[in-house]
Amino acid sequence: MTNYFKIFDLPEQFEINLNLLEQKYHDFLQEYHPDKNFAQNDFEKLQFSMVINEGYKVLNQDLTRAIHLLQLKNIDLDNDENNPIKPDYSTLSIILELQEKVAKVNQLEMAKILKKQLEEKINNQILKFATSFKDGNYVIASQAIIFAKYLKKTWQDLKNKERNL
Amino acid sequence: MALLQIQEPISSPSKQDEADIVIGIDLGTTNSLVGYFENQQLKLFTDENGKDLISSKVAFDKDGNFLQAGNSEVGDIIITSIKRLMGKNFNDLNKINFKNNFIKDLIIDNSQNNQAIALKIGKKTISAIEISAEILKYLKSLAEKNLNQKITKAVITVPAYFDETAKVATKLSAQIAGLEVLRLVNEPTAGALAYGLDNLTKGTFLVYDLGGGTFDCSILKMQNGVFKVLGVAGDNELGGDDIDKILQDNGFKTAKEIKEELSFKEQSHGLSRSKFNDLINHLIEKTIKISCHLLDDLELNPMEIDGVILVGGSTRIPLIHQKLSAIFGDNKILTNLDPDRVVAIGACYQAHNLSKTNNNLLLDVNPLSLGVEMMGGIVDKIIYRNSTIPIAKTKEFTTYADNQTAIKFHVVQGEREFAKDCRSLAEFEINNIPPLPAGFARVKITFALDADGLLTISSEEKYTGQKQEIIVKPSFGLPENQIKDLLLESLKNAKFDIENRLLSQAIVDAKHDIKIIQNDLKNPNIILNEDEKNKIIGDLKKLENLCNETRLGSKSHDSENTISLNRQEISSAHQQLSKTCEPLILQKINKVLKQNIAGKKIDEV
Repeated sequence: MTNYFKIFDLPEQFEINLNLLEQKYHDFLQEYHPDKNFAQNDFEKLQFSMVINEGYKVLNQDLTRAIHLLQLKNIDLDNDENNPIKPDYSTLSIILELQEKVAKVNQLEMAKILKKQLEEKINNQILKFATSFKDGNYVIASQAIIFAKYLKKTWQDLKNKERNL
Repeated sequence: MALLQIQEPISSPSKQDEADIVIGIDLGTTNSLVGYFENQQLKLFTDENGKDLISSKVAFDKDGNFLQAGNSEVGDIIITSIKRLMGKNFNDLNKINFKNNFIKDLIIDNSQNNQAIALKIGKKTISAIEISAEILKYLKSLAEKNLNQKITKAVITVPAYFDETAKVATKLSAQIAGLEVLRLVNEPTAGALAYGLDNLTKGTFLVYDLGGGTFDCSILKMQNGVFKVLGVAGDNELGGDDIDKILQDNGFKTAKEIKEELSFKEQSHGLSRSKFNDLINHLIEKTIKISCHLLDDLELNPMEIDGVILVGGSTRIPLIHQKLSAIFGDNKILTNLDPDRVVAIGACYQAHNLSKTNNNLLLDVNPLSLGVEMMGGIVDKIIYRNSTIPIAKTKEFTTYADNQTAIKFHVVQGEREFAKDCRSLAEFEINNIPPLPAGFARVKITFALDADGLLTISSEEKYTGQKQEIIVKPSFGLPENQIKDLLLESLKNAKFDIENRLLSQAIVDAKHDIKIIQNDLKNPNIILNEDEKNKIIGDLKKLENLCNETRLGSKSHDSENTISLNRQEISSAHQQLSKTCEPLILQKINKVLKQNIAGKKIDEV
């Protein structure tokens, strides 16, 4: 498992300095991007620029950064089969309820309100993750992220629906 | 060569090879441009009539022999808008919006062979890739004429929304035209680059690019010389050509003229601007919707856009300004660069960026998601759209039957859920999987997109560690033997060019030594006997005459062999001269040694 925090020389924690991340990313690119190594056609540099592109993307967003932190603790939320932590019953019932709401949306105004609510809920789960991860409570941290992932999926469905209204 | 090592510090003639010039090409649906950026100066090359906007037309005679590309009207069969057919095959025909049926009727059915679209022109069958290559050859020749030097490298722009097959097809065309493509740059990105470097801009910009045949929208963040594309969206089948078609369908014959006149007049050929707006409103509305969805995808609101860059001649249409102003504000629309030339300018800048060291860096994205078809025809996306390239993603796959030893993969590109609705890119098979119960074998597949957005795939079987590199052949290419023939032709040219370069090098080397020896002969400190001196002068004259008489080869008159023989003649005369010069060289060595030890104690030497 690639540790993107190590690659960017950042502390392995949820709160990171995003400006510093971007600065380091740009510095790396000046050295490793294929356009900067045109004559050499250096395969290893090309591969490393692929790693930093992916690493920057992962670390730059709250949700993907959280998932990566859990991966580094050997909890793979992106791969359901490998993951022993399952969403609890209340999470699933809340999601089902929200999805029903999304299905019923038929006005732009309604969609906007619901979208706001979902965004708030996602942020709350990420906050919950941040505190429990810091305390070493990885099960609760994982459940918060699983919830956030479901919420994000619902949010995406709503967005697609909004476009067709 | 001994002579060179002990040369006097005189000004030696430059031995530097002519620097490799990288040209920038905007290969457009309707018009193309070619140029070059050097010493802070941009130059767009012109044809013999002084025009830099080169029509993307290719003319053939009635038998199908190629006549010419560019602005000329000569020819029996004239092919236009060939770019719309790039990367397409016969089965895509219904998806292509033809401006008129003339080209459509020329297309032959080669669907069984899964080949690139080809046209029946006179007695010949010519693929779209070859026709496009004729435009590139012509653009290349304009650059060569203007710079008076051979050109082999280029940056070529493509619509951001071009899929993999269209990009591969464009590269193939360039290859046939004898151009190495250093980078395929997305057109809207090139447009932004042109603005970015001109104005030292900083901020987030939206590029609205309505070309002849395609619409692209792109959002970029520019800061400290880094141009990061945040996302692209577009429609490959929507362009200025479609506006012309609407006018023609409504009985207006001179569509182009009307369109242009209505950009600054209220009335043209009996059509008022408001009626014109009504006719094209649905098309423009479509482009606006695509732009707004992209903003939404990137979670940006219009207030966060610092400027809107217009690309493509069609963006002069007032209705477009009107609609964009309504969303982003009137003062946000940037028009200080010519929308017809802005992509070419960007291409030239990027060509310059790749050939010189500087801090500018372009980070582009892949426009369409890449995935594989799963059981039931559903697509499992591996690399999502709008990922910064280059990028690599690895995914594990397993077997679904006991003792299964092979897995077949179907790679597709697109956003739709089912593989059948996406663009099919390639099929490949991983073999020699050890026989294991279903679900136990683990095959890791890595998809890698390079900085041109072109795909390579590799696989690794977890238990045996067996690796496989899969070459993705575009589904709709040209037959192997045809590519071979076409390449052979370019290679033949390449060999010719190499021979010529070697000859030129031999002449430069010889002249260099001649100059040194001539100086040595005038040097009073070097004393030679008459016989030695005459011999040297004789051989020197012989070499000098050879150098002056020998011309570099021209393609129409000389073969590679002649050039090679000329070079050998010069080389042997050069060697002969070196040999007769031995007494002179000895004296020079002695002189240098004496100088070095003069005034020094013996144990210091």
